[in-house]
Amino acid sequence: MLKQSISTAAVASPTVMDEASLIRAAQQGDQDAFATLVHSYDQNVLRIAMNLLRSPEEAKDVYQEAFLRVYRNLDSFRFDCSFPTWLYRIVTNICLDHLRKRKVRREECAVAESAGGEYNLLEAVEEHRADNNPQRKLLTGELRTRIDRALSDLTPRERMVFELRHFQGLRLRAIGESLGTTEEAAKNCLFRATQKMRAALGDYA
Amino acid sequence: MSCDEIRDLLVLYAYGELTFDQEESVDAHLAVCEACKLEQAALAELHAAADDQAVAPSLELLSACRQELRAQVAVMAKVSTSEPFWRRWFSGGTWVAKPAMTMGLLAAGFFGARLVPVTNVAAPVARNVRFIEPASDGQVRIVYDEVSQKEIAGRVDDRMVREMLLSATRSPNDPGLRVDSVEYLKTRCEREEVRKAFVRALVSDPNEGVRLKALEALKPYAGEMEVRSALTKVLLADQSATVRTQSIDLLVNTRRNESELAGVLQDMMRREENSYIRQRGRTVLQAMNASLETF
Repeated sequence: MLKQSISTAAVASPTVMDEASLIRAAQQGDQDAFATLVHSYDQNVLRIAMNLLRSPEEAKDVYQEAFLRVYRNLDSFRFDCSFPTWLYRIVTNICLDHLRKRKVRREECAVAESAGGEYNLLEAVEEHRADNNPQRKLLTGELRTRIDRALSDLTPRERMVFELRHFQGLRLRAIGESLGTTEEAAKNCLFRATQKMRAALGDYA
Repeated sequence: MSCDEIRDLLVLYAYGELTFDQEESVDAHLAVCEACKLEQAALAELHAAADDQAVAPSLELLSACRQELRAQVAVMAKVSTSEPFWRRWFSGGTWVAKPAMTMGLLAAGFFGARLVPVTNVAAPVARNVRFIEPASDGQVRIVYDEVSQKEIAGRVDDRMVREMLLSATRSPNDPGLRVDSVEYLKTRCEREEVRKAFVRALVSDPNEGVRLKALEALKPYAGEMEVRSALTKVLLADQSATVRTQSIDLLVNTRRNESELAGVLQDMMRREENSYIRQRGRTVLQAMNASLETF
């Protein structure tokens, strides 16, 4: 751990370090180059997983699975697309799998659960912003349930596109590439997701 | 365009994903249509509400993920190199092909040694090209910076290691690395340069997790003037309520000079919105028989 931290500190920052050189070095088995590559993107990857799955354990699983898949397949990366596009394609596939599995599980459990007894995942995670305004806090509290429900009612693809565009700031073209679809399809997905959320919030927004 | 058509475009308008012409049409329509302007405001509210739900993974989680990945990659790398390369090389070919592959290897070694110039050194790890200019005989001259990776290992007491860790506390792109370096250095907080690095991190690091880590490391030194001054700054200006809360607790629990603390708390009461911190300040000020605010 100590060795790794120092080694990474001694390396130039990713802006100075040419990414293509890093990828080539990692392809030749340079583990430090691989670590530097991981560190350039892993915070975003973890944030995407956390925002989508709202569970530190599942986010951790996605992180491991994604970067191990990158490590195993780095040899086959031929620079046909940018590295982040390739990485996000892997991450989105894994996250979509998790979301789909979860949806199936939820549908299976839906009959057994009472309507009001559902576990609110948003209660279990730390809020990104400390909000000190009591009025806003109250409003946020009421909105929370509706947004939570609206987000969980989106299809996994809609949820993914909304996440990548709204929270990660990726362009729709890049999102289309990551999801193996067209920009137009990503656009439609974002539109549907926003409309659904808008309808679910009703008078609150 | 009709209001319905404009409303369909508002979603993409908010993200700057419309064409120039579409954006012009929306702008022109919004300037004259109150109903669509309200719809745009509602969409902005929706976005703000979604933003409030965003969650950030903790630095501890990031650090744990990195450690686990590093361990797994090390295992995978070990497995892939545990066989000697010649065995891997030969295991793929048929029995008949093996002598041919052996001859090929020998030939490659023989001719390679003669054809490759001695000056052809290994490629640098990274290059940052500064400028390119034509040289004589149609050649091109390139000036570049070369960055290479080095590695040291040692105890935190070793000067070199400590300096590298201190430098890592200022690593601009990686808060995980900054947290790790504070973690390693916190047992050497008796050293002035370490405390200075922590005070700097507490006051100016952009990441809340790093600031909290630095604050925790500075706890045993909360009585020192430099640390108290940093804690005061943080109490009055830090954006994170958690950092401010820990700061007030520490300032109050280790107070030496009551009038100085009263001044700080009165100043705080004028600007603080967090109810816990206000309550804490009020209780301490009342116990000191000091007024709640300065006028």
